[in-house]
Amino acid sequence: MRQDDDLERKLSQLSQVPFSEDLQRRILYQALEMARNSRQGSPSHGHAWHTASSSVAILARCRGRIRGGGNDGVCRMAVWPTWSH
Amino acid sequence: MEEDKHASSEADVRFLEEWMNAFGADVIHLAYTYVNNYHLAQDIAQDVFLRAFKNMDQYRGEGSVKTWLLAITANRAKDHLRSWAFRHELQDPDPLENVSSVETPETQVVERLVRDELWRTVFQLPLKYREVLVLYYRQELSQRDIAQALGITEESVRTRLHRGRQQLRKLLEGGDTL
Repeated sequence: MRQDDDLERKLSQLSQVPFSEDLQRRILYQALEMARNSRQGSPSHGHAWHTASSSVAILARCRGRIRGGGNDGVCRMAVWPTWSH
Repeated sequence: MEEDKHASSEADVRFLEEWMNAFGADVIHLAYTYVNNYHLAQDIAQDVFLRAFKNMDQYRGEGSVKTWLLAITANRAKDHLRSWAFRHELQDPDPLENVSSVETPETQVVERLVRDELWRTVFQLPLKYREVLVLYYRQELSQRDIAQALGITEESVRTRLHRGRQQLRKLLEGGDTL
């Protein structure tokens, strides 16, 4: 339980930021496209759809980016299990 | 083997849909907390869920999905705030001027958010206090989960919560500008 009831109440009154059905549809559409591309073996948006068996390739790409000074979120997500992003 | 892969993709899409139903509002709310712009928050939420979808195999079943998604959201939002495009955007002194005169559900949302006094107060807080206050009070994450999500220590979370509460209380009670 939160100790400061008044602040909790105030912050709980922050108005909603809607996650619209239209946005959800757009995301699902893109995910389905990615899944379809993966079945056809073609890369999507420059990244091959990967399963656990291809995570080694993802990590190798990330190492290259880190060496090159890159710092994108995909790479930080690749090390998520250690919470060391 | 190939059939397994197809089944996996379809199952992943179903997972994605369930995650969006369960956590979509949390993700876009946190994104908005960072960028103070509904359209950017939508872009970030889209990016977050597609990244989670692409990396689903690695993370399914590990810890709290909500905490994981909110951590990705925080990272993506901060990346955006650091980006050249965001830092070089011309800041409009009156955001309402950007609201279209044509009424649509989206313009209504933008107008409601821009006019919301409580949001305006929260946006006066420094980002490091704003993020922990929203994650703790609004998203109801534990201090430990907040520390993990933001990559900081639990002690830092406690300190920021304390200072953030002080500043927010002052703003809410006195209407001071920080």
